[in-house]
Amino acid sequence: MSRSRRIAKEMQDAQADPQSGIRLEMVSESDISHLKGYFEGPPGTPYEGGHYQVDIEIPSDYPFKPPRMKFDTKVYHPNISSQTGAICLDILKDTWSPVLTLKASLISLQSLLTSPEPSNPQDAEVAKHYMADRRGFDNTARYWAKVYAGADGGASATATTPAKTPDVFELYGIDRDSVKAFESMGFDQQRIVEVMRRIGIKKVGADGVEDRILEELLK
Amino acid sequence: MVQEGELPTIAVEHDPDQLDDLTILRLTQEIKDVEAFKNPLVGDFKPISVLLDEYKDATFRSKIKALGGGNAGYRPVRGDGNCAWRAFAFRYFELLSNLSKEEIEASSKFLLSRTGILDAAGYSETGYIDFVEETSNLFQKLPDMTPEQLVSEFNNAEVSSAIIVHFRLLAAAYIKTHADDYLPFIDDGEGADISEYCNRNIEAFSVEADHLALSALVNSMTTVDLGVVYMDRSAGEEAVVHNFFPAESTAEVDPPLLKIDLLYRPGHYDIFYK
Repeated sequence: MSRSRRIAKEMQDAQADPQSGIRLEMVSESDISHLKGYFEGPPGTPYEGGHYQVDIEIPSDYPFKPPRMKFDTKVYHPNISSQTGAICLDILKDTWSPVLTLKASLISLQSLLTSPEPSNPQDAEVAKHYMADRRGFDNTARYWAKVYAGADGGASATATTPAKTPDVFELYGIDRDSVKAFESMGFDQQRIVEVMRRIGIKKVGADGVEDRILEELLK
Repeated sequence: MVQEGELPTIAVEHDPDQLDDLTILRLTQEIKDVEAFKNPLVGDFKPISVLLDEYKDATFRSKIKALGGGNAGYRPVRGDGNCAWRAFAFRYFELLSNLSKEEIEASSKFLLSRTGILDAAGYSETGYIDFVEETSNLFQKLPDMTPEQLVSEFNNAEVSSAIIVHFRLLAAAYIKTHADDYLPFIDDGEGADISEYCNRNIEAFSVEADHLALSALVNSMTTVDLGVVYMDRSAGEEAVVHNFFPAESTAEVDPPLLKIDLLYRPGHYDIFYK
């Protein structure tokens, strides 16, 4: 069985099934082992309307080893690194089976957007946000979809750079007034946001939280 | 994949705190590749005395001695998570290769007819056809192959891995089409899912076969009796042998019944010859 033949067949299959909403393209015509996959954010989720691009590297022993996939489009999701796009999904690791295909893998990524698994996170900060404040998480994820994935016509489909400079408060789901309070004490906004992200606090309010942030800022 | 003749090296310039999942996955794979490189996928036959040299432990030694001398021996198979499957598949074809062309043909026809249970279990033909084809190709070449050629065919990772996927799918399909028989063994009290079990334990490549998987494999093939010699530290002068017999009788079918023996040592299977 030839690996190239299988990949070519998989690409044809995906093309012949536009209903699936999955698109596969070669990055360069001379290299069948490097592809890009595309799909839409699933309806009823904060990712709805977003266009997602996934980088796909196919190892030499495919299909006996899983394809290496990561998001090119920035995604705010517990199982996807908000920095690198690295994905935590079992079928792309231990439970990969050679009967799975690139299309099936991309459909699984799409379902991952619908059903996050915060207990097995790729991005701890995002997972914490998801667990602690579901509504706040949804707002942030929706904002990222708009800024990076073109939901609501915000950006282009291949956006790794946002269409406009993203609002730092919306981007990390951090309360604007809480940051302002520290700014008025003379701290730098960027640093306040960095500290609040690091210790996983989105809003000042509960007892001791303000002191904790202050302590970090004064370090 | 590791090429013969070049030993892979592992890059160590990574800061452990900076590793992302993809890098960890890649490094783990590299470690496995280095390990694997030391042993062929399917090795050469060794007399049982070679095994005796490996152990100082009295329990092991008495059990190994009890396996018998004379022609008894084993054939090491690479420990890459597929060893039970690869051992089984190799031995299956090795036993067939000693039979007549007609018997090989009957076996081929019968095994390929079992593809029906893949359809019944809901696998798509596009998904499995490449792997079944590899099995079919080997059946066609088998009557003219020398024993050395068969070993070298199985050391071609693409060939033997494809056949392993075929056999894994047969086992998984058997479980899926006999869910009532298997559910009690899979049920952990929190609601078991047959499909999930098959995906994680059988379809997943490089996940070692458990007891259930071997039972399902034997049931799906219907023409093989499997004996597993458990070589462990449990009490006793002799190793425990567990036999798997197919649930459905093959009395009505043409292909010859084969007897495969595997030698189990904790975490690993090799082929056993009596």
